[in-house]
Amino acid sequence: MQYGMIIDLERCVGCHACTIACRAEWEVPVPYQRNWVKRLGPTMTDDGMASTYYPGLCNHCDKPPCVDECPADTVEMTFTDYKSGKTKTMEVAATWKDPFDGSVQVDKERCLGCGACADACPYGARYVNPDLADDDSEGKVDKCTYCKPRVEAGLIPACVQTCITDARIFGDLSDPNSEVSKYVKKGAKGLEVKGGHLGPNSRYFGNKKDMGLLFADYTPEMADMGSVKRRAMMASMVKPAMKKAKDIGLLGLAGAMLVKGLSDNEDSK
Amino acid sequence: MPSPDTSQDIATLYRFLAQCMHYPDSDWMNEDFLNVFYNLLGTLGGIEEGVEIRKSINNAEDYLEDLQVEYTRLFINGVPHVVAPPYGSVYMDKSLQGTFAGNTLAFYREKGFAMDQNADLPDHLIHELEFLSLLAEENDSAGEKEFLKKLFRPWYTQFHARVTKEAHHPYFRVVVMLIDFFTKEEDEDGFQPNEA
Repeated sequence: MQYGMIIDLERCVGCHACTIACRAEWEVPVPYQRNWVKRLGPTMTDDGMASTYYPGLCNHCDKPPCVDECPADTVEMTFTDYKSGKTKTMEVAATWKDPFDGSVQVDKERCLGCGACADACPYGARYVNPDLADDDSEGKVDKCTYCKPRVEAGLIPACVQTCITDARIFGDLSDPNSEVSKYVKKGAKGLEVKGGHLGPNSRYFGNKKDMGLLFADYTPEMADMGSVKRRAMMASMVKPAMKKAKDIGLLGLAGAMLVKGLSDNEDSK
Repeated sequence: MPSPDTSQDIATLYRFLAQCMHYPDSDWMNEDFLNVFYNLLGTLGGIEEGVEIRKSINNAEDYLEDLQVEYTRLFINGVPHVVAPPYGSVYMDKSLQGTFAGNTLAFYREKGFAMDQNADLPDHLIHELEFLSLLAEENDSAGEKEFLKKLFRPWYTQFHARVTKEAHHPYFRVVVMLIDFFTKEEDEDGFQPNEA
C-alpha cells in the first residue's frame, strides 16, 4: 500500500481551509506549517494566461531524502498493518518510511531536534517545533503524517475533510481502482526534484497551463547537503550546551578582532 | 544551504571554539566554562575525553597555571622552540606573516571585514575561527566552504597533528580535535553528499 494525495487544481479555490484545519488538528505553532497554499499568477504562459494555487504538503516520497539524514541511534521497531494485522520489524532512526502504508513518520521521543531532515527536504515540509523542546533538545521535528492517527481510526485527513470543493483526494495509490489512482491515470503528477527520483506521492492534477505554471515555479532542487551537513548537524546537537555558554557571557569575550566594513574606509583613504 | 537558524548555531559553535583557543585566563577559564565544555563533549559522544580533562584539572594544584604554562609552550614560546605556532603562514610559507597571511587578509577584505588594531596577525587560528563565525552569521555557506578549503584546512591539518602529538595537557588535544572535526569537509572522510 502507498498512501497518496491528489490535489485537483481545477477545483482548488485557494481558501486556505486545509491549512487552518491542519494547524487546528495538530496544534502547529505559527510560523511553522505542515501544509501551505501559495498563489501563482496570473501569469502569461506559452499556453495562455495561467492562475492557480500551490497547495503543498509532505510528499511521503518513495525515496525520502529526509529519512537517510537522521543521525539518531537506530532501534528495532515492529510495524503493524492496521488493516491486516501483519507485522514487520525494521531498524529505524527517529524517522522512517512506514513499510505498510508508505507514509513518512517521526518518533518525537527519539528525535534529537537537530533539523538535519528538515534541511534535507527539498519541499520544506519539515520544521523543528520549539514548543516540543525538552532537556536534551531545543525542539522536535514535525511534519504532515497524512493524518495517520485519524486514518487508522477510520477517518480521512483533516485537510481533506475540510476542503470545501473536494479538491483534495486521499487514498491508496497502489490500488488501481482507488480514486487517487484514477487521477494518476488521467495525468496527476508529483513535483519531482530536478534531475532526481524521489517519487513524491502528493500529486497535482490540472489544466496544462496551470500545471505548467506550478511546475515552472515550484519544481525544487535537491537540497545541497554537501559539506555543510555535518557542521549543521553538529551545531544543532550542541545547541543546548552553546546556550549555556551564551548565558554565562562566554561568547561575548571572543570576537571584535574582525570588524565589518572598515575595509571600505581603508580603501578610500 | 542550511536554514538561517542552523547557520546561527554554526556561528555560535565557531565562536565558542575560538574562545577555547584563547590564553587561559581566570576571567573565562573557570568552572562555568569547563561545565559547558564537558557538556559539549558529552553531547558529541566525548565523555571519555571529558573525564580525562576533568582528572587533569582535579589532580592539579593550580590547574589554571598548568594550562597557561602549556599554552605558552605550545603556542607562544617554548624551549627549544615553540611547538605549534597558531599561524597559517608558519606552515604554508615557513615564516611568520608570509604571503599566506596576506592572502587571508585579502579574503577577509573581500568579504567586507578588516582587522581591528588590537588584533593579532590575520592568519591566527582565533581570527580565522571568528571569521568563519561571521560568515556563518551572514549565512554565507559558499564563503565558509571556500575559506575552509583554501585558507584554513591546508595549514590546520599540520597544526592539528603537531598539537595532538606534543600536547601534555589533554585540554589542548581535545580542543584541536573538536576544531578539526568541525571544520573537516565531508569528502575528506568519506561522507558523501546525498546522491538521491
